[in-house]
Amino acid sequence: MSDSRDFSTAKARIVTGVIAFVVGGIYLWQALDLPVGEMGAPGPALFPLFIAALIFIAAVITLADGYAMLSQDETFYLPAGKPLRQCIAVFGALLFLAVTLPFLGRIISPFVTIFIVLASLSGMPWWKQFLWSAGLTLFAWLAFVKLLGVPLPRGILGV
Amino acid sequence: MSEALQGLIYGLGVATVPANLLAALMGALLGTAIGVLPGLGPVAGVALILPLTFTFDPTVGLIMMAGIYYGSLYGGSTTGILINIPGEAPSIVTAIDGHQMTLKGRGGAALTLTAVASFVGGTIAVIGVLLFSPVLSEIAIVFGPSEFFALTAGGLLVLSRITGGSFASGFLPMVLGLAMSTVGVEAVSGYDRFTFGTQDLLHGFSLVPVVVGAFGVAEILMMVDRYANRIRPPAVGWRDLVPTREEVNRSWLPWGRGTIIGFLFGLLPGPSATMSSFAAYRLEKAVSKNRDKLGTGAVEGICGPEAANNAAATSSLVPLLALGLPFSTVGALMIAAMMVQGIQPGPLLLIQHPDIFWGVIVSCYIGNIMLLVLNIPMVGIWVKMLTIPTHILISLIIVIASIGAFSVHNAIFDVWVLCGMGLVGYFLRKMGFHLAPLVVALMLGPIIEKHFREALYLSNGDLTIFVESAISVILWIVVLVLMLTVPLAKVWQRMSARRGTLEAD
Amino acid sequence: MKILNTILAAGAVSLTTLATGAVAQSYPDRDLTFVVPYNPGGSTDPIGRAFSAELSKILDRNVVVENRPGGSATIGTGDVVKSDPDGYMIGLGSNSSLAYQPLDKDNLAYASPDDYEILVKLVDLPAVLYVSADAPWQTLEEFMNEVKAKPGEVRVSVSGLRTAPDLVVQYINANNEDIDIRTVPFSGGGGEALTAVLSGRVEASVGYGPSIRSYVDAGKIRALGVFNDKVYEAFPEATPVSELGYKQYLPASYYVIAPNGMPDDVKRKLIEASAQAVQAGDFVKFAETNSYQLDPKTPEEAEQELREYSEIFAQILAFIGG
Repeated sequence: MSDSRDFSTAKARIVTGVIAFVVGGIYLWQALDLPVGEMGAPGPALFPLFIAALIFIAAVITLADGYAMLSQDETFYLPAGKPLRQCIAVFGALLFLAVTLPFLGRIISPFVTIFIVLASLSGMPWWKQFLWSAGLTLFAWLAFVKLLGVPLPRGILGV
Repeated sequence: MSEALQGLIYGLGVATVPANLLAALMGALLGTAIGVLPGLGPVAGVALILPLTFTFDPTVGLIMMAGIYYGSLYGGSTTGILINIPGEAPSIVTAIDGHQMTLKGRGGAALTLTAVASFVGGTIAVIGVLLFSPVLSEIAIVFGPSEFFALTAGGLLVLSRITGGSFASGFLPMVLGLAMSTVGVEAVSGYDRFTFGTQDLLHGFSLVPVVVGAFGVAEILMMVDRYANRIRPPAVGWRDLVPTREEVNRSWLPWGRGTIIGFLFGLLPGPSATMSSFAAYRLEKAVSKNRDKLGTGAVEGICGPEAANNAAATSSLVPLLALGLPFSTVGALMIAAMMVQGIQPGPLLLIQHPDIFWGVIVSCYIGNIMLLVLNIPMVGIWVKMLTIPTHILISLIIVIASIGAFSVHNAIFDVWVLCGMGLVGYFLRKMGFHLAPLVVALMLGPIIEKHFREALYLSNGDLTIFVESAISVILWIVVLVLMLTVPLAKVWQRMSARRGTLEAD
Repeated sequence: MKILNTILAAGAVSLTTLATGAVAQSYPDRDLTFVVPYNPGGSTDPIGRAFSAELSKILDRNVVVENRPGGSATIGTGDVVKSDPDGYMIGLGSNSSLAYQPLDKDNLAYASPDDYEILVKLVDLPAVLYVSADAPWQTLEEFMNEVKAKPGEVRVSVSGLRTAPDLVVQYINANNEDIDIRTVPFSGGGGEALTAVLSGRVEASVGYGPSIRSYVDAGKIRALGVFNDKVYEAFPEATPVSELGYKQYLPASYYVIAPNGMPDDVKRKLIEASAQAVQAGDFVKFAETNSYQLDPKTPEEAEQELREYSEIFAQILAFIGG
C-alpha cells in the first residue's frame, strides 16, 4: 500500500485556472450590484471591477502556465493510505474544534480535539493519550483563559 | 543628524524601560523556539502571538512581535543549516551552504557565524537608519495618492514576481488576496461588498486567521503527509560552535558587503529581506575569492546573505513605520497590530507616535544583542527542542491556532476562516503557488484602493494623474524593469530547481 | 484614583445637593455610564470626558465613559437611545450623528428628537477654511474670487465623503449660484486632508480647530475663513463667512442625550446637573483651550436647533443627489 499518489502539476494548474474563472465570474456578478460612481467620484464598485479583470487575467495566465507545463512531467504528491487518514484526522480535529467550541466550551472541546490528534498520530496507549490530552488542555486553559484572559466560550455545560 | 540623535536617545529611553526589555527578551526567546520547532514558521508564529499582544501597550506588543520575528528568522536559519528546512524565504539562501557545512561537520561553526553575521548587519543598519530618518518627515509631502498608488500596487506586483516560480505562481495568490481585501463594508460609501448578506463578512477577512491558516495549518498538514519519513537533527556540541581562524577571516568581507546590500534594499519599500539575501549571495558568487566553492559549504555563502537579510530587516522598518506600507507578511502583521491598537500607520506616525517609531527601531537592535548573547550558548537546547514529538506539537498548535484566530474579534467565524485557508493554502502550496503575495495583498488591498480613489478625486477622473509626477514615472519604470527581467527570480529558480519543491514563503 | 475622585467629588457635591434640594433622594444610587460613540483618543472623545468629569462632581457618582465607536457614531448613539430609561445611561450626540445620519441610513434606532431626550447642548466647533502658507490668497475674499472665477476647479480637501467638513462646503455650494467648490475626500482622517494642503495637491482644506491649531501656530498653514456668524476667538485672523454675505455656517454641534421615558424627577435632576456642568469653571476652561465655542442651550432650544439642522442636511443631500 502506497503512502502517496503523484499528480501532474500541469493538470492541477489547469483545474485551478478554471476554478479562478468561476470565482472571477461570481466576483464580477456581485460587483455589478454596486454603484460604480463616476471616474471623478469613484463608487464602491469601481475598484472591484479592476480586481475582477485581474482575476480573469490571473485565470488565463494560470491556464497558460498549465498548458506550457504539460510537456514537462513535474508532479506533486498528495497523501494516500495511512498518511491520508492521518491528515483527515488532524484536519477533522480542527473542524471539530471550530464546530463544537461555542457549545462544548473551552475545556471539553480542546480536550477532545487534542485526543483525536494524539489517537491518530501517536502510538501511545489510550490512558497515556488521555493524560497528555488533559495536561495539554490544562496548559492551554492556564495560558489563554487565566493568563491572557481570552474570553473563550463556556459552552452549554457552563465550563 | 541632531534630530536623529535625539531620536536614538529617545528610543533608547523607550527601549530600556523594563517592560520593553522584557518584551524584547520574551520575543527573542519565543521567536527562536518558534523558528526552531517544525510546523511553525516565523510568519505563523508572529501571527499567533499577534492577538495576544492586543492586551499589552502598543509599544510592548510591537517590540515583542519584532523580537519574535528576529528570533524566528534566527531559529529558521538554525533548522535550515542543521536539517535543511529553512524557516522563511531569506533563510533559503543560508541553508544552501549552511547545510553543506553541517554535512561536513562544520554545522556548529555555521551557526556561530550566522549569529555574528546577523549581529553585524543589525548593528550597522541601526546606525544607518539614524542617518536616514531626517529625510522621513519629508516623505509625507513628496508622496501623494498617485505616488503611493505606484509604490503599493507596483511593490505588490514585484513581490508576486520576486517570490519565484512561474508568473502565475505569485500572481494568482496575489489577485486572490486583493479580491479578499475588498470583502466587507467599503470605507467611504459604507456599502457592503461581497458579504452575501451575512453579518460575519461585514468586517472582511482578518489577517490573523488567514495567515495562521495559510501558513500554520497548511504546514501542519504538510508535516502529517510526510510523517513517515521525518528527519532527525544532528547533535551539536559546544566545541563544534567555535569557527576556525580561517573561517572567521573569510567572513569579514562578506559581512560588510552583505550589510551594505541589505541596508540599501531595506530602505526600498518592497520585499527587501528576500531580495537582499539573494542579491548578497549573487554578489558573493561574483566577487568573492572563494566563489567557486559557493554551494559546497563555503562560509561566504552564509555570511553575506545573513548579514544582508538582517540589515534589511532593520532598515526596512523605516519604510514600514514611516509609510505604513507592509511588503512582507510579518510587516503586514505589525501594521495590523498597530491598527487594532488604534494607531494609524502612515506618514504621520513619526510625528504622532515617536515613542513607537524610535522605541521599536532601537529595541530591534537590543533584541539582536540578546539573540547573540543568548543563542550561541543555548544552541544545544534549541537543537533538543527538535526532538519534541510531532504529535504533541501538532495537537498543541491546532488548539493555539484556533484560540488565536478566535481571540482577534472573539468570533468563531474566524476559526472557520482558519480551517478554510488551511485547506486552500495546503493545495496551493502543493501546486507550487506562493502564499506571501496573498497575505500582503490582503493587507495592501485597502491601501491601494484608497490611493487609487483619492488620486481620481484629485484629478477629477483624469487617469494621467498616475504618471504625472517624476516619482510615479520612476517607480513604474523600476517595477516594469523588475517584472520583465527578474534576474533575481531566475537565480531563485535555479536554486529551487536544485532544492526540489521547497516552500519559499 | 477612583477613590480619590469620589472623595473629592463628595465634598463638591454635598454643597450642590443642599442647593438643589431634596428631589429624587434615591437617584443616583450607583455609577452612571456615559457613552462616547467615537474612538478613545480621537478629537471628539475629550468633550465627552470633560463633561462627564463635571457631571460626576455634581451627582456625587462616578460617570464612567465608555467608547462605542462605529457606524459613523450611530452605533453608540443607538445604544443610548435603546437603553433602559432609568437615568444611568446617557451619551454624547452630535448634529452629524443625530440629524444627518438618520437621513442617510433608515435602519437606525432613532430618526428625530422625538426618539430621545436632549439634556443639554454643550459646544459648537466652527469649520475653518485654511490654505498652505505659501498659497497666493491672503484673504477669504481673494480665495472666494478665485472660486468664482474657476467654477468646479478649486479643490478643497475634507476628511471623508459626506463627513461634516464635506457637508459644510456642499451647503455653501448649494445656496450660492456662483460657487462651485470641488471637495476631495481623504479617508485617513483629518491628518491626510491637511497633508494634501501642505504638499500643494489641493488648493485649500476645511477642518476643525483642534487638529490644525499647531500647524497654524507653526506658520505652515493660514486660516483664511471660518464658517461662522462672528469672529472665532480661537482663530481671530480668519474672516467669518458672514462678513462676505454668506449665511451658511453649519458648525459641528455637540449635545448630551438620554433615552425617552425617564421618570420625571430623574429627568429633571439630570437636566439641572447637566446645565450646571457646562457652566462649571473646568469645563469652560477646557472648551477655551480646545477651540470650542460654548453654546449652552436648554433641551427645548437644542431640540429646535437639531430640527433646523435636519432641514439643512436634507437640503444639502437633495443638492448633491443623495
